[in-house]
Amino acid sequence: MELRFEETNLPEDVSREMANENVTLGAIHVPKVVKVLMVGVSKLLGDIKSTERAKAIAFRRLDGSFIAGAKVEYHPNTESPDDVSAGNWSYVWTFYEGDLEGADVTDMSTSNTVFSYFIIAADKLHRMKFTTEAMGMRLFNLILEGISHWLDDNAKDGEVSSIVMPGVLNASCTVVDGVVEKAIVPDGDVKTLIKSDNMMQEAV
Amino acid sequence: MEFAKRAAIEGRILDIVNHDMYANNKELYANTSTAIEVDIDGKQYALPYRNGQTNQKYVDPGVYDAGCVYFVVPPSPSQEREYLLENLNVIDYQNTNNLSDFLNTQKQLRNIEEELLTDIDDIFCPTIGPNDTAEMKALKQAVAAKQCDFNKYAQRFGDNYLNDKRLFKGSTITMRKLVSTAENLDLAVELTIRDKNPDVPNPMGVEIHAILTGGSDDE
Repeated sequence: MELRFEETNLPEDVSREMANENVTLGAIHVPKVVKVLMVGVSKLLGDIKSTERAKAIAFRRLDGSFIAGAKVEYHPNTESPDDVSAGNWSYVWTFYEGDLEGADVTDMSTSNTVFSYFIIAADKLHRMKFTTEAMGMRLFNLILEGISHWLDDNAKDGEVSSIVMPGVLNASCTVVDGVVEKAIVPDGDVKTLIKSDNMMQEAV
Repeated sequence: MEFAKRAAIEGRILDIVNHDMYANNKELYANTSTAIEVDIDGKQYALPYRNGQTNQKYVDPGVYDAGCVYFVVPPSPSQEREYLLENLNVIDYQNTNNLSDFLNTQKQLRNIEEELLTDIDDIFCPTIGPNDTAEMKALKQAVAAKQCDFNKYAQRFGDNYLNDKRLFKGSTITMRKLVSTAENLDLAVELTIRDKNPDVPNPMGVEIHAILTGGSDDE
């Protein structure tokens, strides 16, 4: 099963959850926030990436429990390990905190400097602004939690279920040996933001 | 609530607030009487607040409020002049240091409002019907005599403007609504009570006048 993000119940769920917190946001705008989230994280990791050490960011609930994270890591070319341009970068998202081990992790819930990436992304992509940073962070967490729950609920043995947002992300799940395996893969232009410092304009 | 600046934008006088003031006090400023200062590519604009909670495409320049996010639709090059802060005649209350300054600022604002109200796009002439009550007929006649664009007075009526305008399609009006409508249109309404004729039993012998739209009463 493959559904576009807009076809799932996620936009409505996020909108409803915000309404429960006395904050309005039409479901129609939720996909825009998803793109801002992915572009903002990608641009941030693209700026802080290092050939020395993997860099990651983590999204957490108020109680500190892990929701999701993203990591960028340099892999040197085995034949010419000193040639930086010969190596390659991996950029992955994960719902499992253990996948970020060994990386310098920036915690989104405590870092007060990284939100500017989302402000810029929102402005460039949609001329959109968050009323407050806290609202933006709450939205990001709700979206990531929503995707994670959707994947849990729709995981089937031997079958891949996925949510796609072309050019932004592909979130999928399956059941292997009775265990749900979930993944988010950045898609298209969003993925290329990691590799170049001036891809933002092309991505938008 | 602080309205430090005001200017005529899109034919209305709007309160101009900066982004932080708007974002931090949305419950105060999220209304159609507000314009928000926005920096777009280094240019400062004052863009009207608009409701963004709809599925309609955002077309007109403005700040579209969609709850915890909002969207800025910049003016096109041909519309730019109307929204550029440097082009607007901004009345800035922050520059009022004493009563004299304040009164001058108020006068400037009244002049701008007068200019707007007398710039007529469409004269409103309500139809007088055979069943109109005397007070409704008088009000309709007064509005017709003003030869004014009723829409230009919308801001004075506030959120209930369309309902109030719709009253002119009816044949009756309450005293309270007559008075509030007249006040919004700079009309004075006077009530006179006198004997029907001198021969009635227990004549008052005097005329009683009351100005219902404010001002002083005299007997």
